[in-house]
Amino acid sequence: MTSNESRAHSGTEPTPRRSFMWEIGALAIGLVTSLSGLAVGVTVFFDPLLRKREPPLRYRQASSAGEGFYKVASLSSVPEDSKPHRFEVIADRIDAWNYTPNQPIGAVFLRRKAGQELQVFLSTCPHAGCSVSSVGEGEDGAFHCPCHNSSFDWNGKRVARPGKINPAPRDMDELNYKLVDGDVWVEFKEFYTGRPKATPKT
Amino acid sequence: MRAALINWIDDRTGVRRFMREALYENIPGGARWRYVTGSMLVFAFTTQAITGIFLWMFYSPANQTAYESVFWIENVVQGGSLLRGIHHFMAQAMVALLPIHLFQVIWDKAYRAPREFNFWTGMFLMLITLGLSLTGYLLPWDQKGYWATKVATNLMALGPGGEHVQKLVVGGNEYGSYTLTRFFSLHTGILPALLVLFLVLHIALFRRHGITGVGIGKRPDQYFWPYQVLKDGVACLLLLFIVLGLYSYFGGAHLSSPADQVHDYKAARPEWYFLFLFQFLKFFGEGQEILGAIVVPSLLLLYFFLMPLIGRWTIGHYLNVVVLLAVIGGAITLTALALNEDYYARFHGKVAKQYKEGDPALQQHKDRYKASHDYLVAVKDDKRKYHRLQELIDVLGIPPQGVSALMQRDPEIQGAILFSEKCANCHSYLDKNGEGIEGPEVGEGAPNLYKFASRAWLSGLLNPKRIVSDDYFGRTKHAAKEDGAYPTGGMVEFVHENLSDLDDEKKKALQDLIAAVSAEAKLPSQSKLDADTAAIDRGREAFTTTFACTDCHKLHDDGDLGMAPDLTGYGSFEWLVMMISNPEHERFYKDRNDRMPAFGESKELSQEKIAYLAHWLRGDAVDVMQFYNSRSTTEAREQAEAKAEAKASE
Repeated sequence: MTSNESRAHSGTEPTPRRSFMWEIGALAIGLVTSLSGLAVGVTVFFDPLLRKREPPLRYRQASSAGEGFYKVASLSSVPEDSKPHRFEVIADRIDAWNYTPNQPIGAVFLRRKAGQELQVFLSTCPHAGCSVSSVGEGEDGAFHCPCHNSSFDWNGKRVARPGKINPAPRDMDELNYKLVDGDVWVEFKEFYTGRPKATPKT
Repeated sequence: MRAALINWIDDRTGVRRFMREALYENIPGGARWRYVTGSMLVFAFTTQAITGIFLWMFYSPANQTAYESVFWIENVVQGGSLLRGIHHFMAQAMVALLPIHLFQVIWDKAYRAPREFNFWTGMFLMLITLGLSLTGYLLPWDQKGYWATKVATNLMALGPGGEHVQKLVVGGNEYGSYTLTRFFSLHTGILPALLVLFLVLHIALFRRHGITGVGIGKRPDQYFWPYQVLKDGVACLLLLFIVLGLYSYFGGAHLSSPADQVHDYKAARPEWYFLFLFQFLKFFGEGQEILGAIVVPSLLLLYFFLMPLIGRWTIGHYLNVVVLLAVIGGAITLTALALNEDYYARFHGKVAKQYKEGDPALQQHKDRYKASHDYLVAVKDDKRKYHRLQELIDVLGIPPQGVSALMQRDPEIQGAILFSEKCANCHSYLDKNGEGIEGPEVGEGAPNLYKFASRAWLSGLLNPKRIVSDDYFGRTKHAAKEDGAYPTGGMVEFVHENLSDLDDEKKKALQDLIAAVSAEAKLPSQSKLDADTAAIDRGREAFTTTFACTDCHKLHDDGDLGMAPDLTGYGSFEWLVMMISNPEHERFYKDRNDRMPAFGESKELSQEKIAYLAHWLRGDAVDVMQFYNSRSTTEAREQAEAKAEAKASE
């Protein structure tokens, strides 16, 4: 065989020969090596779905009113005017690597219906998650959402506003509460918005 | 159907021709193992880009977040340690592959005309890769990265106009968030973009000129695909295994304790691949650093750039090979020298008997031993800090101010630092194996305070054979004997005269006495032992009667102040704070005080720092959970008391 005959030519497809095993081998090893970094990266990317974030050891104590309940206000600080009032929910916040005790994590409306009977609403609009505001007085009082005109009466029921389309898929989300030693403890949770049924986020 | 689809695509993209040209590159003389280094570097870079982008999702370049986010990647994020490990070790592998690739190119004459531009783009790629390494290891903002970068950027300031260059690189005069943001944008934006640009040029030129075949005619030619690709693939797989092997051998990429800009860090070293430059710099004296740091490396680099021109002549080519081998050999030698200096103490004893006193080699040995010992201790100390930080974060979490807030308030970390700085001029703190914090080697000294006030410590003090040893009063005034009398050595006299050759009954009584005095400290490590109140009661009895300690010492209601230290609450937190504040107080040594400064009286140490020292000496904070829980209850109680007092005074 002369060297001329043996020489391949760049950029021309070779005549089929016994290179099949080589091709399979090169393909397999090439894939494994080049995808390994990507595989690890993708695993790490899924960290938010895989891991439950726990507070540090020292702060892992149960709420005295039960799991998921946060102290929001003392009962006496809720005015007896049957209007909804906005209160901050204070809890320990875990944000990426930071742990910060006693941070505002959201807001609720507390409304005193009669005596010790309260109504607690999540301030998040069930339509697209904006924060609703309480407007008006007495009979005209309502919750209005500043984003897409959702509107609710003070009992949280959807109401129509003249000339406006109400896009809310459900009434306002009402939260459970407990009275412990004169304090209001609220079972604070967020729900997926835009759905007819309230599904809590976990 | 399939063919039709491919045709449809090919008509619009020309993919067939592209693939053909990419895959069926002719290799004169056939595929060879020696050609794999370039592909390995491309593979390494690709891996860096992919893992880097995923790391990016978890990293935050700022003073209070850089270390914290990397700590989280390393310790908490699912698979984060492996991801960072691959990125870290692949970076090292890349730097190690560069000279191998360079050597192959020079050896096989693949740099000569017409391939000058191949070579020059390759040189730029090497510089960019080194730049990526340099910018990369600052990002964790740990001790290692911080000090290595500090040195590297200070060296930048040596050249003409260097101070401006330094300021631009650091983002100001201070190292901080702007340094991180700058290095981060260099590391993840500018340098990778440049690398890709030069890589495209490098590969395009390589394809234009083809491979510089070796052994042409001896073996038949082969195509790049699949013959060379398989060899490249196997080599890359091997590289991946090496990287994973390093990851598991070292237990992950190293992360040292957070950047500490205040205290000296005796293990400040660059990454291993810059150690040769670090060592090289040691040969240059005052005012000449610029030669070692800038002039010589620049000249060398210039020579490398001229290599393709010099290599036109055969003799020039041989010169190039010789220079390259000399540089690689020199770098290896310098690296070995640097490592040998750092690990000298591990392979040589402290005492070198082969040298006579006065031999200059002895002094050299001592200096080398000391420097290496300091280095090794600093490395160990750093590990200890890191593990402590892990415990702190586990219990307390990372506050928004960052981990420095945790470390600055932790007695275990601060106590050791304060002891080294303020106490170790006289005192040592060494366990049985001689590990811990060393006091002065010769001359005057003071007791070893390791487990001070514990039963073991007191047993030594009350042992006639040990009280005048270096661990106790051996190097203090209290051991001094003047004209047959003990001016300040009453304790030594007592121990020698009254505690030698005790009968069994007295030995037992002494044990009880030690238990009783030690119980005053209420050490957390002895809480179980201290529960045996019967022995402690017997010991208290022996204290006043059998041994008549109350002739000099006061213990609760027995004895008087003024002669010797008050043993009421001996070694307790409150006792230690007062003692460190003022040893000349009438509760302690009064005019018999040896050399102990009044750290509190003189305001040399704040009350807070004295508290850290006292807690640390007692080991109060060893159990993080217990310490911080008890402290918060103490704080709450104090706050409640203060409130009640304020109310009462109204």
